Amino acid sequence: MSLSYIYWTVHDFTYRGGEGGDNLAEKATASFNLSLTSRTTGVRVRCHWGAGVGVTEYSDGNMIPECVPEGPDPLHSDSVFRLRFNATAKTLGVEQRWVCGDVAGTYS
Amino acid sequence: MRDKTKRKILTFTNTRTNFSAQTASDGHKGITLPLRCSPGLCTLDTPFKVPGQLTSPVSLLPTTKFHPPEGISTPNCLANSQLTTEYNSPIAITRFMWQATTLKQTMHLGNITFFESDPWAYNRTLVIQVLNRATNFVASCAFNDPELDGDTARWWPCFHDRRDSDGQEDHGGGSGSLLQREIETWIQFRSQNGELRINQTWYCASTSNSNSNSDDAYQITASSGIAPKLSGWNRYLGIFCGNGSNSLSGMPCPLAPVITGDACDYVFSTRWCTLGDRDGFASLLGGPLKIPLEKVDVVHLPSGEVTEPEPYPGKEEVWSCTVASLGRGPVKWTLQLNEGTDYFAQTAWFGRSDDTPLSDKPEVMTTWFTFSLNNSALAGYPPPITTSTTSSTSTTTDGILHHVGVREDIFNWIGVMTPGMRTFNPSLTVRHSDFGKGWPPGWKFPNALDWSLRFDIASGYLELNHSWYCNDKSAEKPVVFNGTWQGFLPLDCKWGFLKPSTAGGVVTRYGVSCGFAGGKREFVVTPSVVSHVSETRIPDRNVWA
Repeated sequence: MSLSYIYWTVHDFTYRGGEGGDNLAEKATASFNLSLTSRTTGVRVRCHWGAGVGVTEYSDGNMIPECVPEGPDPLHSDSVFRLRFNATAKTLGVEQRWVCGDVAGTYS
Repeated sequence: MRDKTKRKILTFTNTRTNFSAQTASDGHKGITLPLRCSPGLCTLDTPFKVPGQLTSPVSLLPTTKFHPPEGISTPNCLANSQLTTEYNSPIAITRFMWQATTLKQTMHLGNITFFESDPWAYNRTLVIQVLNRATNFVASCAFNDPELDGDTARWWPCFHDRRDSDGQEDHGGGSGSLLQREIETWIQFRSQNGELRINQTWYCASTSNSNSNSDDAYQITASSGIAPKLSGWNRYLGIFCGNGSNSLSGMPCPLAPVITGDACDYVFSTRWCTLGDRDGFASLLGGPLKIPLEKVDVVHLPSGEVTEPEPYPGKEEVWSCTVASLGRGPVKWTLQLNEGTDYFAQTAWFGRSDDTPLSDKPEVMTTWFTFSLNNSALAGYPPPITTSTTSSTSTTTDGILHHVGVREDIFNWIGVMTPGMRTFNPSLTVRHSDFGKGWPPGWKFPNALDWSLRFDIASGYLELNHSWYCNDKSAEKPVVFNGTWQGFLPLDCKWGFLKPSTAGGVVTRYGVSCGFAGGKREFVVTPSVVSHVSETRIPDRNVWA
């Protein structure tokens, strides 16, 4: 686990639905997918956002996808991810929460 | 004696730490993705790295570059560094003085001498200033260690190794800021024959190669030496040695007069070696005393190694105080019996103590304890660069806090740690600061800040607090850690003859001696650790050299 150079690697990103904004027709079919690998914990997740899937789009245009594990959790980090994607600004924000315990796995 | 409320604490161990990180620089806004968009579809051509920063348990900003070593960009640094002759050597002494003075005292009444002491060491000094002409860097330091009274092969660290907080030893040469790579200057002076040796490691930027990355650098390690003789390029400059004495007669004696009219004579005898002249300045013709290099090693360092915090990209398995403290599972403290002892604590049952002023109070009982604390967060503390060329007595940095809690309840502490004594006080907290400035801190690295503890030998109950800091990610805003553990030590105690204690010297007495159960020499505990980012730099602290 590295705390010195924390970063996430984004793979297989696709966004469908135009440039964002107020075009309701585009929004109705918009979706995006990406995979994210945490260098810190080694966890990889697959994240998806799609209109009508019960996920959130805030009034500021940020889309909050659902993320599910796409592989093992090598450090038993119980990682939880929260992503925000803004189609208009093409920005991605990432937040990860995890736990670190005894490397031998003897958690209390 | 046992406190049941505290026993409950034993069952609590904080073995998991919650971490969180978010997109660096602006976690709310996020980072702009380099998307390639066509009507209705945006994709990433290649995997994209989103930089992050730690936000909990401490806010650890993305690692920032350190300042490069001083003089690294001096023109022609690399070429000048490899000139080895006396005439053009980069290593030059601009100031040097060693002196060791003894004092002999004679007490007399008129012409009758009724006491004459042997000479004893009075004071000593080693002062040196070394100019590196390739970098224009000056290393300056002064030592007053009693080891300088006689001939010693010890290598003295003449660089800013964060040990000069109290001004006792100005190892100089540093700007006060933490650097990834320090210029290290080591000095060896043999007073027996006046031979002076200097080993130095410095750095030069790779400015001559236009194709190289600007962060490229070379590490130069050179050894040099000079004997005290007037030879070489400048026959008027060298290290001169001599001796002399001063006398004071008919002075008052230091203690109350034994008989009326007595007086004391003092003889100060000094052996000395200086550069050029007696006052230690190279004021004679020729300027600094240049010393030919005997050996020069040049190592090309990969890009960024002089300025990037560890671990470097691509070289990630290196020790980091911050990562070891925050990110490798819970911090463990190993309580270790000191070398040469088989006990953690002892209580003398019959207080016969021949080596203390308490010998006239044989009813007094005393308790003492001592152990070493091996903090897993500091256990990997790396040795200095030039360990192989230095004396092991001065450079070992094993990451262990030695002689924690060393305490004997004598003098004004009589009986405070001894159950059954009227003065017994189980709430007594022993702090490192109790020992005063003259007491060795017990550690050989700068990161340990303090310890304090309470200990009750009757129940084995121990409360141990220990704090340390890590500045390997940010010297300006280091992370401070405060750990605490409380519980009952598994002690086996037995009655018998007590071996001499480290704390009390040679003692002949019987009593109770307590070691770890099962004859083990160590006991591992998991402290609760909280941390915060300091908004100010941690000042340099004196350490056990």
